[in-house]
Amino acid sequence: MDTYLVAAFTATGIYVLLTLGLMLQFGFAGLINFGHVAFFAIGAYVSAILSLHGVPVLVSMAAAVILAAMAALPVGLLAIRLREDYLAIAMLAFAETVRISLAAEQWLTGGINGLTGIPRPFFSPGIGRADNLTYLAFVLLMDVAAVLLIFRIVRSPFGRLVRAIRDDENAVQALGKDPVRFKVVVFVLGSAFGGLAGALQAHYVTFISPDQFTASVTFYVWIAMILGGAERISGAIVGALLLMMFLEATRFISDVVPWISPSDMASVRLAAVGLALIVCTVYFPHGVVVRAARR
Amino acid sequence: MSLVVDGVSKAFGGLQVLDAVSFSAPTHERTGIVGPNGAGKSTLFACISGFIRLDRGAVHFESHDLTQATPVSAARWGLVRTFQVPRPYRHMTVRDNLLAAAPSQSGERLRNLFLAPRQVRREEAAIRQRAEEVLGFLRLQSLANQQASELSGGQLKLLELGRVLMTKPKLIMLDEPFAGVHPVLIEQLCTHMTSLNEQGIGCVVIEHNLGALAELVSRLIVLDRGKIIADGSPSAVLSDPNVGAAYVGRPQ
Repeated sequence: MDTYLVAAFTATGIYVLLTLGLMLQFGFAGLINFGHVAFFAIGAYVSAILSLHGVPVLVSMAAAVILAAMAALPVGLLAIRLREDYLAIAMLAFAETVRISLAAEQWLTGGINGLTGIPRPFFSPGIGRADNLTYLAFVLLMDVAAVLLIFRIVRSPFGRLVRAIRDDENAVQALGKDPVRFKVVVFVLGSAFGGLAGALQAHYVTFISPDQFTASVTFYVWIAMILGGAERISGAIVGALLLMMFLEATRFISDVVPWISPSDMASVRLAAVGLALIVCTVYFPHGVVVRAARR
Repeated sequence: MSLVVDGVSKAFGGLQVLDAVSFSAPTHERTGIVGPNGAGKSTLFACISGFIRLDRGAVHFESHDLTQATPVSAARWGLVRTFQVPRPYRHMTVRDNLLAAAPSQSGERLRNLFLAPRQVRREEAAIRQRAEEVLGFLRLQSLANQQASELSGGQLKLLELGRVLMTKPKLIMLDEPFAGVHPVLIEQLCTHMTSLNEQGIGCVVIEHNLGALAELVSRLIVLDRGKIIADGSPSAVLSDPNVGAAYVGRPQ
């Protein structure tokens, strides 16, 4: 049981990072990014490939963050000038392009078979109980660092201007500041969080393949963010926790209702998550955190 | 030092909204632009401030060519505008609205937040000091911690003026500052604009409220159907029969 809990919390910790990245982009700057998984994938593959070539794991992870950010820069510069609904579509297409390229470039990524034997940091290569706990601690440490970083940014003059941009972009322009620069910076930053989450995922599961990086990851992160409340750091954390609890709980549906075949189970879980999202948007439109705070 | 508008024309589809409009507004003067609805006043502002590309003509401010400039560079050169419908940062306090408008803050670069935190703190303190001065000047201190969304229409106009002042402008362009504003606040706004003008900040005002505008400005330009039909001192312009005709309607 405790092995199971450690695994669930590690996965949650990784989702917290993804959700924080999206919260920066959408909740903070109003950017609609439907391609968040692209940077999760880039982070995972960069760190995996480098470490499989003998680069120390922590260095690979740092490189993954930097490369995810560098990938976001040109995409952001192009897409953020588009109308916001076009940004969403452009990012969806970008994420699919990344996933298909990962499947196609066999020489580098192992194609659809993916990459195996990705080393763990600290205790490699053996994966024991102590190792999993250490890794969980490492993931949580990254979460804490991310939260502190976001606090610093949101409460700075930079954060103040980003909030101004979200309220009225034309007024910001009329007062002599270019909204595009700020939006691109937030986009790159959020993507860097995605890259870090990807690197942590790759070294945790030690096996990655393109089918782990489909658009459904992006939408799970959106769901987590909306569940918790898009405008709050605590919302991202609570939302990721709720989503994971929900996904894990629905895993046991098959014990209660044995007539659903395992292959149908995935669809049933997705439907259950969708239902929960509808219920939440009806009863907690600003997220459960805001609802709780107002009580 | 002046704003020079030279033969500016703009058409939307088949509609000629501005037809070779030329005037120059020195910064030591207070210039009013009036005209009936649809005369092209707001379009003229949008063309000058870079929000709309003009078809023909040129706009210069001091040594800068504004003809192809973006709103961002126009504002950086000291030509700052407000909007007909106020555009406050609704979810921010009045004070934060002002703080966000302070120009070129080093704390707006992430690099400086982490590499030069002391410089950021020092600058922030100076900006806060300046915001308090502006709040005092506009008598907005009591509203400093209110959300902008809670202000009245007149208070929003004062807030917009405050934000403009934070940018240290050379010429302020106000689009209908008196519309929907309480007469007491109109008087206040006029006092503020006059004292700013005496400090050397120019102002160009679009307005429907002729009475209040004639009190404020030293020169009136009348636009009708995209053309300037009168330009001179308020008393001369208001007694011009053409101007009355444009407002009241022409005899058939």
